Amino acid sequence: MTLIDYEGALELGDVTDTLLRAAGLPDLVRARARVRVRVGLGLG
Amino acid sequence: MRCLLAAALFGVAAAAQRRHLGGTLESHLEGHLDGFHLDDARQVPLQHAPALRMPKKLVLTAEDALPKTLTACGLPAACEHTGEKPPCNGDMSPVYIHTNLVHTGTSNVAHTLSKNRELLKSAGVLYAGTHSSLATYLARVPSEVIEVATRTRHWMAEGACTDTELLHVQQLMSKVHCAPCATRAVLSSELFYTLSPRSMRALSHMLRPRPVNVIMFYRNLRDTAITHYRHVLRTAQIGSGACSETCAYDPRDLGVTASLREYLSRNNPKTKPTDGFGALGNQLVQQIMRNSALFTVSPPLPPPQTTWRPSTTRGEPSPSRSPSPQP
Repeated sequence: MTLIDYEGALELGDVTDTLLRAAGLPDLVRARARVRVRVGLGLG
Repeated sequence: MRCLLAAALFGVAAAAQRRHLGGTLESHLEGHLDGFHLDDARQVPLQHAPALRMPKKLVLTAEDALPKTLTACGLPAACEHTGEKPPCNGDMSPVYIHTNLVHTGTSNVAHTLSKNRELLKSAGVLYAGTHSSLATYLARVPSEVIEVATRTRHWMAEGACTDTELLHVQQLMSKVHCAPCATRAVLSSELFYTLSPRSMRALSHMLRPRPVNVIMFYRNLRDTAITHYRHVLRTAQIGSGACSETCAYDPRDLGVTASLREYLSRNNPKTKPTDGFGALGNQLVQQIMRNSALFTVSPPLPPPQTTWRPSTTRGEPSPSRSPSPQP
């Protein structure tokens, strides 16, 4: 089980990104960056 | 002679009855056992009786009815990409169950995840959605029933297509179970935290063989209380129609309005867009914060080399409290 301090997450910025990072999942910033790189490389 | 005639008539009647029964049984089996034909039957020799033609499979299980039931409800009977179906050689990515206490941004998280569903999918994350149906299903259905349903992954009863709650549960679980092995799934609902340990174990059982991780935001009680009071301020019934005896304010004082939010918007218009409740509403909220600061058990550490000064900022000590530690 993972517990996250809500106030701390607010200070860090986006709550959803904090949630995803805490779970070890790719956050939305990284996912967007990955999509941009793929588009830039012409991979789709 | 009479005895011989009676015996002959009885024999003919019995033979006719056997033929009739045989025809009925055969047609009954042919008509009701879909997929099983008596041509496939095998002969079972009995010692003192003529050979009976027995179908290969006499007992129909829930698994037999599963595809038919799901198809009847407009759901796919099997995963579309069968190559990715569990057990995936025992190597399954986990399911993350996101749940929250009240006022810890559950709606915001669910909205953001839903809006970025495709983006997450491209990163190998399945956002399966917010499902209050699953939480209510787990709360009301006995664990024995869930166990049996889980064994066949068949949570819908036959003829239950109109039960939208069951339909949602079936769709959600099929989505998770049919996801590729390497895909990590996220379930989110504020209601999960209301479930008993038994129901949470049942949920974990339903999601097998995927491991389950629970993620939860927590928040200090003071901020939770303030946020809750702000919410009540916006939505409280203050004196209209049916709530005349139970509403927070007397209609004679504040007039007939649906909520305090409506009252404020009518009598206390905002001067700028960021002015959440207008001057009067913000004054009320500030007062609530000041009062709630009185109940702060562990105030934040004071900044170094500063003198104690009263402040109304949220999170700082109240002016009514003494700066010197009490013996």
